[in-house]
Formats: sequence, C-alpha cells, structure tokens
Amino acid sequence: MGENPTPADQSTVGSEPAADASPPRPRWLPRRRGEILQWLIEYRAFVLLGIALTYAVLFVPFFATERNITQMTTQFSIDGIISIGLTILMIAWGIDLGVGATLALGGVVYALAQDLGVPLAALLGILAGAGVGIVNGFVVTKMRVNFFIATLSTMVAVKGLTFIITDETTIYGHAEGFGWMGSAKLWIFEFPALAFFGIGIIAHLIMTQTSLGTYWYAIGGNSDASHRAGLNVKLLFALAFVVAGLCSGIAGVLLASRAVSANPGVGRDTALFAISATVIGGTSLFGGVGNVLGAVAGVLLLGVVRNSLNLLGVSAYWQWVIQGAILVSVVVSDVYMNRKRRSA
Amino acid sequence: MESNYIVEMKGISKRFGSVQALNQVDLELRAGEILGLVGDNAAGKSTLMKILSGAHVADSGQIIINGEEVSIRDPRDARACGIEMIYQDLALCNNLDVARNIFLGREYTRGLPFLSILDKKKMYAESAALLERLNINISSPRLKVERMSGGQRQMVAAAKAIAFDAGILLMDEPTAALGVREANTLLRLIKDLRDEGHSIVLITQRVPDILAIGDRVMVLKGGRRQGILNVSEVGLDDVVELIVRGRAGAESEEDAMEYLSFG
Repeated sequence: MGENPTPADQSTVGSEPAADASPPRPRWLPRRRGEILQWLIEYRAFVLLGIALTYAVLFVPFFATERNITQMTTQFSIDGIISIGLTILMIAWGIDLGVGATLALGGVVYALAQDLGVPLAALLGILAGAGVGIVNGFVVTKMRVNFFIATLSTMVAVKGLTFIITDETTIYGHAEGFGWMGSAKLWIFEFPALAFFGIGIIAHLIMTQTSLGTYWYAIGGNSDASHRAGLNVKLLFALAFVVAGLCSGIAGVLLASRAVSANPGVGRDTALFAISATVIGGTSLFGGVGNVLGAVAGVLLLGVVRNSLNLLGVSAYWQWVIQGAILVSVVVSDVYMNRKRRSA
Repeated sequence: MESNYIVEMKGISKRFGSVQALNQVDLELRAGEILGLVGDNAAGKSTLMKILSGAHVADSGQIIINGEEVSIRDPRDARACGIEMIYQDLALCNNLDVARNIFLGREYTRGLPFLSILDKKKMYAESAALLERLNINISSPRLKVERMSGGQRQMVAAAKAIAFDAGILLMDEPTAALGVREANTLLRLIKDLRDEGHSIVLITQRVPDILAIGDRVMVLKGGRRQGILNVSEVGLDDVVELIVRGRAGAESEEDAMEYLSFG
C-alpha cells in the first residue's frame, strides 16, 4: 500500500492515476509493443500462411496450377477435418493421440459395409469413429484415466482391431458410388476440400455462437468454476472426445472413398499433422484457448508447406525433420504464451 | 422472530476422515443483513458455507430456507434456493469475457434446444446494465477476465452471483488478495448489495472489515460455534478474544496479541 498517492476518487478501481489531464488509462489496455508480439503469436497461422502462399506462388514451379491446387486441397483436407475435431477437444483441455488409428478404422468399416449401400456404409464408418470417441470419453471421465494414456491405449487397441477385421489386407471398393465422395468436384475443389471448409464453418459457429461452444471453452479454462456454475463437466469433456472421433471417422471414410480402397495401415502421421496444425492455429495445449478458424489456417499452412516441399523434390525424411521442427517451435511459443497468461 | 431468518442451519456436522470439521453448528442469517463469519484457519468457516452452497454435503443437520427445510446436495440445489457462493479462489473462467462468465450455465439462448444459439446482444446489454447498477468500474462486458485486476475479478464474481437475483450471497474472503483501495471498493459494493435487500454471509480473516460493514458476527473455533455478536455492541477485542479463546477462554494471552496485530 501507498506506492501511489491515492486520488480523491476511489471508485476508479484498476486504473492508474494519469500523469496529466487525460483520462486514466485502464489497466486492461495493453502496452503497445508487447501487444504487437502477442498479436503476431496469436494470429501466427494467418501471417505464416500469407508468407508461405506468396513464396509458393512465386517460386515453386507448378504450385499455382489448377491440378496441383485440386490435389493439394484434397490431400490436406482429410487430415484437416481431424484437426478441427482436435481443436475442439484441445480447447476443452483434452487431446486424442489415436486419431490416425480411428481414421483407418472408419475407412475399413466403410469398405467392409459397402454392400449395404454406400450411404449406410459411410454412416457406419463415421459412427465407428464416434464410437472410439465414446470409449475415450468414458475411459477418461468415468475411469479417470489420464487422456494421454487413455487415447494411446485405445489407439493400440483400435489398430489391432482394424487389422483383425481386415485380415491385414487392403479392401477394395466395388460398390457403385464407393469413390464418389473422394472424386466429386465443384470448380477446382473436390468433395473432401468442400467437406473440410464446411465442417470448419459449422465448428466455428458452434464454438462462437452456441452455449455448447462456450461450455467447451469454460471447462478448458477452469473446470472447477464450470462445475460450480452447474455445468456437467464430465459429459461435456466426453462429448469433446466424441467430436474428435467423429471427425476422424469422417476423414477415414473420405480417404477410403478417394483411394477406392481401405488400407488398415493408414494414418501413421495423422496425429502429428493434425496436432501441429491445431497448435500453429493458436490452440493451446493447456486448454481454454484456441479457435477453429486458426486451425483451418494452420491446416492450409502445413498443406502448402508439405506440397511445396514435394514439388521442390525435398525427400520425405527431410520433410519429417522440417515438420518436427515446426511443431517444436510452435509448442515452445505456446508454452511461452501460457506462462504469460498464467502470470497475468 | 423465527420468521425473520432467511437461512437457518441446525446441528450441522461434517467429518473429513479423522478430522471433525464441524460439530453441531447452528447458523441463523436474517433477511437483509451482513453476517460476518470469522475464526482461525481450520475453524470450519469455509466448510460450513460449502455445505450451504452444495459443494459439500453435511453428515447430519438441517438446512431451513425461508421457513422450509430443504435438501442441498449440489450447487444446482443451492441455486434453486437462491443461494450463490463467491469463492475465495474465484470461480471465474479467465479465458471467457465478462458477460459469458456472468451467464455461464444460464445463457440466454434462442433456436434449437440441443444446440442453443447464444443471444449475445441480450447478454452483453444485461451485463453492462448490471455493471452499471453496481457501480463496477469495468468498461465493457466483452473484456476477458484474464486482463483484469484482482478487485475487478472479485466484482465480476459478485455480479455473476447476483445476476439472477440470488437473495443469499455467501462470500469467502473476497478481500483477501486485494490491496487496500480495491478492498474498500469491494466492501462498499457488499454494503450496497445489502442495502438492495440481499442477505450476505461474509467469511473473512479481517475482523475490522466486518466491524465496518457487518450487522452481526459469528465466531467459529475448532468446528464449534463460539457465539454470535451484534456488531454495534462489540469492539475488535471482543471478537478477537472469542476467536482465540473460544467460550471457555482456554488459551494464552499471547495468542490474542498475535491475532490483534495480524487483524
């Protein structure tokens, strides 16, 4: 007490006494220079995407061709749909390391059920993904298993199951329309890309405009406070796992449809890509912070980088190194931001 | 006289493992008063209030609200009785803005029942009106709580509690982490709330706060009620003596001195 001379009007809580006649500067108004850095970190995905796109268009041969853009958008969209589900889950302060295995299961179920008709088979594939999410949600909230361990365990189990039900072989699509979802095209975008953007918009609206979205932010920000406010924290948390599983199932069906076959071994790099894109997009590993549009930008960014490296003939192993380096730098900046937030 | 009490707790006991946190405690809160609840650490103050707010369930005892016995088993039950607790460790989500915090779990919505769309306009308008009514100096309900000072956060927590006209407010050491100026502003807010007709239980370590704005003060020690005093009739020494020595007056003079200098 007593560092500042107390002004006569004591009602100005939280404001600093002004040096001159100008109105006091409220404390919530950030200092300018720090704010720019924070802004850059918060919207890093959009900034980096702009840089990467400019570079790719100008310097990467064949990047800005219709065929490449069609291929590239389809490619990153399938993993991108998973990123959107993971974004919601991570905002609620969870993570699912097994999204790749769920993706493979979704595709395999779609292929195995194709004789029931493509729409029903697709639905079953998606529900299989949601089912994995339900198991994860149950194990995490009811049996109180840490979500890293829980999703890692279900990943292994799902992988095993996928190989068992396929007899370790690729299942080819023979039903009429099996490959439609992977190849239908509108202008230069194929169906997976359209699905990705559509799901992105829906998820964005859910997270910003509905009470459900607010609840997911709330439980990720402060689950005790959410419980005291009367929210069903466990159910909401479990539901976030179901969303991640559902998105993985959708991605699996799209991937199988595009390949006109379902391979039980796909999805090894999916979690790495999806988590990287989500975190680059501004979603924190520490819950409560993030947004879907940022994740979409993160997916586009990683997609453009991966595609450019391919076009430039960089070897797959160097691409892994680069992707790993990107993830590390992004996680470091997230840890830094989180420390700033907690100390604020 | 009996009907004057808005809350009565009778014979409340609660045990955590081998610790008897509360032992046959009674509490009566009059309508429209500020009742201070004081006592040393581990005296059972917070436990008693958590039972009233549904965070804990008592092992035995009765709770009577407005003359009717009620069963409070979780925060929803308490809320249905018009009871809101403002926690010491601030039950706010720092990543949400002021309006979303105030309305958390009770949003204004329209449209689909399973995916209800937030009526943000109404939430922001009502939050702004509420902040203004309570003279809370926060420029916009769109501000995120993480950018606010400790005092502002306490006031948001208070606004959250009374947003739905909770008649009974339980405050757990609201001024503990605040500087003198912010604490005074908050105490004035608490007094204003009382004058608006809210009934308030104020847990605090700072006995002078209660003497400044409270009507009565109840002292707990070792999970037992030591007494309930009218603020207008007692001084700091009387309260502190009850806190330190209890009814029996068992402990030494030095403890009382220590507590006085602390308070």
